[in-house]
Amino acid sequence: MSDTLVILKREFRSYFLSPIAYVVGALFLGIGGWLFFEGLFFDTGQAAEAKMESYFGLLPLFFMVLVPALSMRLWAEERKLGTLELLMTFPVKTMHLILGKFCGALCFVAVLLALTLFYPVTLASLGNLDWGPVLGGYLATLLLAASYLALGMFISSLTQDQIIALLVTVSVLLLLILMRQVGMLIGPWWAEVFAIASPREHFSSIARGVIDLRDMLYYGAFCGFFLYLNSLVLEAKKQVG
Amino acid sequence: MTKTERKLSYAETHGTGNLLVTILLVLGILVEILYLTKDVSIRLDLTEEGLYSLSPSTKKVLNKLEQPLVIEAYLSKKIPGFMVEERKKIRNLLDEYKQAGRGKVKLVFLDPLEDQTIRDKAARLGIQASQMPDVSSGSFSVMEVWQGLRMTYGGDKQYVVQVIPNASALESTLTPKIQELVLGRRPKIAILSRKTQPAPTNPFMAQQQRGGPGWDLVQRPMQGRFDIVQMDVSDGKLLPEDLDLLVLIEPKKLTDWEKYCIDQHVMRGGNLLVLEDVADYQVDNFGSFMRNSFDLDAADSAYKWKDQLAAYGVEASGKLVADLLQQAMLPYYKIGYQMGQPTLAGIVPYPYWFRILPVDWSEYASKLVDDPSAAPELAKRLGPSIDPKHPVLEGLQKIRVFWPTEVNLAEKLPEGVEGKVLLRSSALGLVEDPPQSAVPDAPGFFKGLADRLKNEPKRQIPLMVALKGKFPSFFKGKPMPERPGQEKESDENGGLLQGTETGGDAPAAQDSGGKTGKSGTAGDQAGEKAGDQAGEKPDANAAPQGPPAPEGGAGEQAEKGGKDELPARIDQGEKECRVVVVGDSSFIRDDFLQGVGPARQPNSGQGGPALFMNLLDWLTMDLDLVELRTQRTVDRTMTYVSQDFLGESQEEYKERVAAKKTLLRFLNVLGPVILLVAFGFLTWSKRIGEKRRFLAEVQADLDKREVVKGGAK
Repeated sequence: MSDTLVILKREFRSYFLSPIAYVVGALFLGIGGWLFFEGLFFDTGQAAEAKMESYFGLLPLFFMVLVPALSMRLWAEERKLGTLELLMTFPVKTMHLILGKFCGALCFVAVLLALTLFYPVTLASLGNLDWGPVLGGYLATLLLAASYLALGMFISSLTQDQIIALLVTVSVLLLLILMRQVGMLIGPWWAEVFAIASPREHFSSIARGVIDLRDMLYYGAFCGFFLYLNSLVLEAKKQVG
Repeated sequence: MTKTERKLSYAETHGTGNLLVTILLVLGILVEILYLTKDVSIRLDLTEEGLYSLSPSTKKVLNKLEQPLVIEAYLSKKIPGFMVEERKKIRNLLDEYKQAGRGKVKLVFLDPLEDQTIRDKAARLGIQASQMPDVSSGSFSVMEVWQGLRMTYGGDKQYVVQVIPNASALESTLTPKIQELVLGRRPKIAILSRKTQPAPTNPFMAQQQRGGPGWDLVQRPMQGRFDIVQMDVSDGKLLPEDLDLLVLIEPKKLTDWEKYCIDQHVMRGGNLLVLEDVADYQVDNFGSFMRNSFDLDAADSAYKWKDQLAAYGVEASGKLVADLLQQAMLPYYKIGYQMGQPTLAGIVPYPYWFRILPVDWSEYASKLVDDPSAAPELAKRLGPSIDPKHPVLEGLQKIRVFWPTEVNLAEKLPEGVEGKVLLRSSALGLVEDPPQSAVPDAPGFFKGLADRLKNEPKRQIPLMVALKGKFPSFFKGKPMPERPGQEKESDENGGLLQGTETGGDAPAAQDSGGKTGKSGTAGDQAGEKAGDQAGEKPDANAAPQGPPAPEGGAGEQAEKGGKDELPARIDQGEKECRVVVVGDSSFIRDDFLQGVGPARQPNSGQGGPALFMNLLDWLTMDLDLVELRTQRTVDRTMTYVSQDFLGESQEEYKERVAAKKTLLRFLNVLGPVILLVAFGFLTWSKRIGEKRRFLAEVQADLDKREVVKGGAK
């Protein structure tokens, strides 16, 4: 476990040394905040309600680009620089290595999200904000980011080109987001099945302020599966040498 | 390279087949876990109002179950994609009923599309399939969707929901029905509501003014909950004795006989709810707001409704109420027409339409007076706009009213009656006689009211009162009103109605203890005789006979007279009952609920319907169901800046709001970005410093080595 923590710290720190993380973070905060407050403060003749729903509604789309931008380098960069082989020689279990990188990236997303806490604090100063859905929204966002990261890491492990990792991850996430719509084209049963498989559906369930065991299990299974696939790929690299 | 020297791939070392099997196995296990737990509903609802959980009302009702309640949900699995989320919510909610029922609720899901027997059974129960559009196959088609349910309690009582409309309305439909199945009886309510404004004849206007000035929408959810009858006493009979509640919605043109029936209903211990108005304004898209003809009393009425209310301890001043608190006022949407098309010409705050907010105004006394020494005195006179502790209002956060009227407790309440004011305007309330036209954008309209506010003492105008006790009859000591359908007979009987006017207490009166006063006078005997005669008529119900209150105890004549005999008049309430008077009826009016014309914000979610249904439940003693509606009415409206109510214009206020919005936008959008960039800059600076130090150290080390090297040389 200490191995995981060491890798987590190293990975987390590395984000703050990378200009890409700042650019991506600044864009996420700037554009997200601007869109949210423009909508919230739009003059409709009556005062708006203190709710964060519309902000959390934007995040699945934002994260579709933000998270792959963070995950693309996790393995692809190591492979390109040739440091992956070096990493594999360390007396660290592959899964610890993966979990360390995964948690490090997730912590960076959490820091970006923490910076958006300005928004609910502002809303709470203006009206009677219900903190329950806000808490649910942040939890749902973190879980969504975790699932996107797990998928992005797996795809990053398959290539040494970061751009390819980014594009493939974005494409797969877009497909996942639109799963229900795709399912509807095939048939209603498929729409239901695809909806169950889509991270976005479970996101909206938690984001409204309801923590359901089934949603938590879904995210656990989703992350677990892709992290497991990731470990298989790395083990293969290890074997191949 | 020999075969043994070549690097083996992972697939080769483990076998491709094995690898795939392992991956599929892991995936299968995960899917299996998700499948097995799909019906396990362990949830934590974080919302303050418990929006996605069963309300405490439902839990209380489910706790009363003594026998098994079986819920058969007829839900077809094949549904269009757009219904998937809604269906999930319905299933979740039904699951919650099962869990909250602690073994007493059995839940069965049936798909009529899978089995013809189930389909036939559903059809027999009256559950109908809906035809829903489906575009799943890429082309438009119609799909048959079943979404109904049946509840059976104790094996013999049942209730069927033919079509579940949506998940959000399901709880408020099911819980009262379960309550009814458990109790085995529905409260009985009579309603009197008279529309005066005709529905628009112009099709365009009719479309714009959906619903019109009636009260039909709010009566729909009542249909399943209560036994509802329309108040009709034109046949000369009193209201039914088993009536739990009489609701008068905007009473107008009340005849003396109707007033007598209302009075006797209260005397018998029946509850009374009055939604009182003082004026009726024409609502249309043009917003002319011209006052319609409006009379509380019928033209030939000898008794005033206002006096009758006063007899019960309610003072209806007949004044219109305005509230000049900015946060309370509702916008009036001024509609203009360009090229024949309606366009929004402006939004004007309108003080005759306002929200009653849960604010304790005594806390703001110091801000409402120029002289600080007057604040404590003012604070004593002010209080909360909404009584937060009353079961009818608990949890209600805002109630919209439209052209309300002042309703207060009388200075001296009748003996044995206690009362309370439950709703008030803000501390910036004003009263006035209803103007002929109440157009908000007329020149000087707002300024006139604002000037008055500056000069008049600050006060909260009472808008709703509730009284409880044994009420005295308004008709005590008064002649009996004319009973419908009796005039001809009366004349034939020698002008007996005239006798009612001169006879004073002539109708068969009761003493305060409720016992019939039979003094055995000649008049009583005459009445008895006449009553007997009336009773001999073959069809007394179809043709009411004889005057109700003939001279010298003629009331008893009718009392004993046959099928339509009139019960003895009660002069003092026999049982304790409740009377509630609200100074507005428009808060549940169809057009205001739907937000049409100049009042474009729908009122349905604004506490009005919830208040009305709470009142019905409270007055029919169904307190368990009150929380069912109040849980979703927390006010979360944002206030950007507090307004200086007396010292600034609307424009100045709007400018301050805009400035605050700009500031908040700037802080929230740029603040986090600046923080992140600043942190990045600090990190970069630190790294540069570390790098320089490191290089300096290396350089120093190199220099040192040079010196050593040079020295050695």
